Amino acid sequence: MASINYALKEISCKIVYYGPGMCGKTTNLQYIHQHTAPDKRGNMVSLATPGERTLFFDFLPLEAAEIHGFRTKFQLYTVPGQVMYNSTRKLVLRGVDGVIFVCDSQWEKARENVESFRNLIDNLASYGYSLETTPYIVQYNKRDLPNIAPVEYLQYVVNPRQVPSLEAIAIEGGGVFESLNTICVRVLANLSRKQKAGVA
Amino acid sequence: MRKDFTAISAFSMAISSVAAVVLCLQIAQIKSAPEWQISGATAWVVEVAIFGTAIYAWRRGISLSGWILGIAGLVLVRLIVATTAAAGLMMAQNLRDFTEALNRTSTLGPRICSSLFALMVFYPLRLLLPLKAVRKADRGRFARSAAAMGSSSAAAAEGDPALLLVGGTETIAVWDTRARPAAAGGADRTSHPVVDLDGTIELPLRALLAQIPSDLWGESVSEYGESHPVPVPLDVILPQLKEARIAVRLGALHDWLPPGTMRSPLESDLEREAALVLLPLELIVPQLPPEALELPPPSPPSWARVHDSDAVLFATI
Repeated sequence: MASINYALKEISCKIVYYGPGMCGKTTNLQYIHQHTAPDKRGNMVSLATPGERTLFFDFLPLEAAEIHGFRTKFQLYTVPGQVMYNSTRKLVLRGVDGVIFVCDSQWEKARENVESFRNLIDNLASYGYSLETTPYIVQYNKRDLPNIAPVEYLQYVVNPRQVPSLEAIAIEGGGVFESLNTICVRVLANLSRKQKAGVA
Repeated sequence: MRKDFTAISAFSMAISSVAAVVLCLQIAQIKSAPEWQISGATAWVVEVAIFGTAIYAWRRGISLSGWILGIAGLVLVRLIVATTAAAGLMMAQNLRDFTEALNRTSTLGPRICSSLFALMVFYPLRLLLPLKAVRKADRGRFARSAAAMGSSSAAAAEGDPALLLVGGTETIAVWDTRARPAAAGGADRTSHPVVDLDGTIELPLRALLAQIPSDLWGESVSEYGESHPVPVPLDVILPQLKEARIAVRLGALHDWLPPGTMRSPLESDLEREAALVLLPLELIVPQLPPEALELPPPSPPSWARVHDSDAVLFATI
């Protein structure tokens, strides 16, 4: 859950990159880390296997523009995509403020996308969260590959709610910051709305 | 007869028909004011227009012959209701002249009643009206649009022109959240609409054979070309689309393939007949009619409502 420190004038939000294994969640974070001003980011913490599979999670603290005098910090996390690490995924989702669902656009991964999306819903539900109340967007990654499904179909299977969605080529940086900005705008707007309603 | 047309459909048709006749008869017995009398020709034009619109709305993608058939069916039901009501009126009021009775069931009140009920009676039958065949031109439509979207996306992303540099030495343009998302807004619904489409798509024989064990290949495989088209019914595909996996029983696949290209799974193993085979999604989706992937209109949750002025930035180098 987002925290607001009025003494330090700081807002801190948690964004989680979720999706099936090898869909490009860590690649998103790595690109952000490499292309962010050093004084506006912390170190990226990553625990991966030699085969570059995320073992636990990746973490990257990031600072955005000052908003109404408040320093805005985002903690970016990824989850391990492999099916067997569900307890870790669930753990990472605790206190989440926004989710970027990274979808692998390749045909052969279509089913895994659906399963991962359902897993996201289940894991959110275990904390009493839902996609109706938690801001999320969908990123269609790997759009540069030849064997990709059309966006219309991906939209149909993983984004029936038609929340904001973007195409991306994370390895080249295409759509990476756009996705981050899109979710952050919604997370902050949601936080602001909750503040006004006296919920947060 | 399609499986969607059930006993409940037939029952509701029967009930609606009886209600139509009874109500039409009751209304016809009420003496209507002269200003309520309308000319037969005008009324029929209006009714046919309503029927035509209803058929089109009920069955998107209907063929011209199906549309005409639907209107004809509605008119027929409407005439049966009015005629039966006229016959009832003759008996109820001891009228001698059937034309007079028919005229009384053709005034505005009975007309509206019989038209409305004709729509209700005919509604279950709409499933039987033929749709347009899937056009070859539609195939690849998605691939083209995806390619177009991908290229624009990649071009826009070049050099990250959309980001605001914070705390650095350079300032880049603020990203416009309105321009990029493939879809904005949101909906509380997670369910996919049930699309009801008839027809088939065609998959190449070789692609289907590649999905089954080679010991089930028949001796006549070589007689057919690799791309020999095999029709696969849409009603098998559409309900599974949202799963991103189209699976069919080996037995069903055997029925679709040309004779002699696949040995019956029953010959080797009873259980094998029920084994599932995955069909190639990448060959199926590009052939689907656009309405197969239609989603309900979005109604955004509260978090999705964002003002343009809420733009955020990140520091980039």
